[in-house]
Amino acid sequence: MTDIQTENLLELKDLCMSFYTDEGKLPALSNVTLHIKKGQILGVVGESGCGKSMTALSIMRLIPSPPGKIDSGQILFNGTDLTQLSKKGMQKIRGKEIAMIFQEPMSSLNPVVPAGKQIMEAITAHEHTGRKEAEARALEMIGKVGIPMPDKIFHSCPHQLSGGMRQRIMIAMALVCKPSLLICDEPTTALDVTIQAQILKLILDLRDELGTSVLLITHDMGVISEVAEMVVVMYAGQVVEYTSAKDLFTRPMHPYTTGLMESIPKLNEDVEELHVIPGSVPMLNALPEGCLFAPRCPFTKDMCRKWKPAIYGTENHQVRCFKYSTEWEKQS
Amino acid sequence: MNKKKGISENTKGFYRISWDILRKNRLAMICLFIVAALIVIALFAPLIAPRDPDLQIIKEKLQKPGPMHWLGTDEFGRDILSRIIYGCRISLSVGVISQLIGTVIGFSMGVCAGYFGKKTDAVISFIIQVFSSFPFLLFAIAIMFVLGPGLNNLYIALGLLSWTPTARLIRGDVLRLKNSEYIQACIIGGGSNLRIILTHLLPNCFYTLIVTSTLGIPGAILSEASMSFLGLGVQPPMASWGSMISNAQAYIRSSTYYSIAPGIAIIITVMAFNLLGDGLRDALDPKMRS
Amino acid sequence: MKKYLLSRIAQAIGVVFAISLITFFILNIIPGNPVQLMLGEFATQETIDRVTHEMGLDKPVILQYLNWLGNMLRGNFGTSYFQGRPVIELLGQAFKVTAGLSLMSYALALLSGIVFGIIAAVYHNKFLDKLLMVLSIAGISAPNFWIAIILQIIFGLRLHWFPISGVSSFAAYILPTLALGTRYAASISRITRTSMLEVVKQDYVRTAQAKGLPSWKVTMGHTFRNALLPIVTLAGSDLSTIFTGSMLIESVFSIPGIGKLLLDCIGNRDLPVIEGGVMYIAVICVLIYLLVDLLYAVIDPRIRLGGENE
Repeated sequence: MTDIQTENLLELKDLCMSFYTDEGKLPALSNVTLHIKKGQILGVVGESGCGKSMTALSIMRLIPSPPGKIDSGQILFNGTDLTQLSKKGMQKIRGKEIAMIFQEPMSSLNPVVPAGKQIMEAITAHEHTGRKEAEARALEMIGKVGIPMPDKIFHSCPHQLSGGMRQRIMIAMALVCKPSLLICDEPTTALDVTIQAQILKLILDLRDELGTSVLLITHDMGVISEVAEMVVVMYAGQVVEYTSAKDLFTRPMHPYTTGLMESIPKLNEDVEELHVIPGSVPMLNALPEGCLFAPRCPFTKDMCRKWKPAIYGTENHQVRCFKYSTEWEKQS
Repeated sequence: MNKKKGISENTKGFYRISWDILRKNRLAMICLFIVAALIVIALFAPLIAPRDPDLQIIKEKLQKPGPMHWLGTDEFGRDILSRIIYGCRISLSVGVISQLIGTVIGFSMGVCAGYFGKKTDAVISFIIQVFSSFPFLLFAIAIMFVLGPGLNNLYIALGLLSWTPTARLIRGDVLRLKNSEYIQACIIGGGSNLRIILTHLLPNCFYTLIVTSTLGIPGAILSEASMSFLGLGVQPPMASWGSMISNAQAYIRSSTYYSIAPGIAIIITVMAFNLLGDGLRDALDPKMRS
Repeated sequence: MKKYLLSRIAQAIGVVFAISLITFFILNIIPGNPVQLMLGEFATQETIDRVTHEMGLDKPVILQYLNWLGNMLRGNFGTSYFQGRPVIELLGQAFKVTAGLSLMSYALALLSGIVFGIIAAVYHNKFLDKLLMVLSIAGISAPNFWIAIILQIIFGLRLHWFPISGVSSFAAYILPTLALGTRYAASISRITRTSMLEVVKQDYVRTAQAKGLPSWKVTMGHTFRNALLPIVTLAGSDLSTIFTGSMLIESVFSIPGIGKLLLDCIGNRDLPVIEGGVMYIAVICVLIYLLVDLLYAVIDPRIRLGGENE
């Protein structure tokens, strides 16, 4: 297992990011706070549109800049605040210290450049190596991500490769400079189920070998249970719960998380109807005052509708819900 | 279900939304206004032009722009401003009529190619290929060579040659539509081919037809100007902007204003149609609805 | 890839034949007896008939077509009615001039068009973008013969920098090149910009940024590289229109190119030259399209390499 170090590799503090459009200000991320330790795998889970991908893109500072903008908060990576970094500074970090792989391997690779050259590009952008050495390293990496006949694949163009292979190439490209953090945005969603398992195992193995921390974004609970150590649950642009993967399934605290868990059909239970959480996710331009989940929560009290809850709980299990505050019992 | 009307996107709502999008595009609205003004000028030329464009007053020839003749006079003493106003009639009529002819031919060919498939498609696609492989203007000159110069022949020549882009796009549309479920249902439901084409295919091709014809007008206007410049288009004493530029060549040393004005007229007209066409295309584009 | 090339070549040959058919029949159904025109007003009917027979113009049209085609395939384009020289000679001479002018213009247009297009895309929605776009719309809206005349007035007559007619020196090519190239530079810059803006939305551009590549590398190696295809398509169809464009420019600047030759021969109904010239241009246009198709295969490995392997 990983040895937990007390230092945080990545820490997001109260990150707020909004889109400024013709329809007004859309707060995509509100006070997002999370942290990853060295060598840790943090899962980020939530429905589509809850802000998971936006969090990842904010860390990489790849949010399309009109109309998106980071309003406030900090992104601390090894102590440096990424929100204050210049464009050049950020370019040095991307690909080298923090790398990212995306959901659609089909469209995420340059269609006219051979796969091997795309991996080499990542190397030559950050390190002063000669062409031959870069080529050798790229070949090695292709082999490391479990692709047979690396030589042939090196010269192949993306359209000649299958989906699983393309995702492996993406992983190779991301890890070739040995970054300390790998962000995976739904890495297996677009792949067949059998390939999914392989890719996840690959990520785990590489983490073990290289000591890379992983931020894994997904909406798939199965992936979380397989791979994640700690998990962050997001809802409507906010973090609502942070706990270990085990506790997420056995002791969920936030009413939203509980609802999610109950919605998963279990093999050993016979149910007439699938459980649903009533209502729907609020639109970004019509967010409720007070707790964002209040309109759909079975435990809502007056204070939930009026005030925004702070974060309560212990170091290893935190929740943004008034139910766990000391004043809960006193309120009606 | 209303079988009489063709099934297409909620028609009224679709055009309403398009108009809203177009309205927001300031540049396109300005060009819409300019095009409307040009149409008015063309239609009401006799009322707007200060003088008779063919009236020759040799005494007043080659005068610089002044209070009597705002844009000066040409080598026969004719008022240039009036000739430009009448020239607007020629340019716009060539643009509109040739595009009309071209669109009708293009739609027919495109539909036949896409709808009847196989051999018809192969033949028509080949014809399209032949027509596109050859420089447009050269073909036009060849046709004018055969028909003889003159405005009416110009309508025919340009109309006969401008159908290819429309045909290509319509063919693509029809191929796509043919595979859609509701067209399949129409075919199974019976009804003559002509009926299916006119009531179901045609409404769905409006986008393509409107955009290609609007964007084809600038080309037609420039072609007319070029042909008239070469002496193969409009014949004297008719005033076409192209032929005016040609006549002005002999006097570029002394009367440069003569060369400039008709060119500016062409640029404004063509630019307005181009920008309007772009705006229309964006406003009507079904893919850009978010 | 071979299949692709072969099918394209077969198609090209078919097109050339079709054009030859159309050309010949259109040009030979015109009224007016070219022999009469050639011999002048005072020729007797007898002479006209004799010359007509000598020139084979009294045979049925189909036979005339086949003769003509057969001759052309052997390189014999006939003899000019009015200049008495072999058509192919006249065409070759004129073509050299036109080719020089066209290539220079297009090279200039490509260079400036692509550069301006990339700049406009990179500075999207800023002032530079809007300015370049207005200029490019003006460029495609202005008749090139008018631009030629304006250039003559400003740089030839007022400033005396360049000659305004003939091709006596290299300097004489400058104004015509500018006049001919403007329109193409404008349309290339528009398509470059549009294509770049389309490509920049693609996922793989974001991947390139996520790798930490410097901006210029993302723009040139990823965005532009993939934006090339539509630009090449446009370049292909542009190149064939450059002949008619140069026709007008040659007329303004009195340049002895193929355009001017054709125009003159249309004036005096010199049929062999017209037929030969049209075919000459047609073959060149078709060749250009073939070259462009070849270029596609080079630029886009998807065409070159074919499908998927595991």
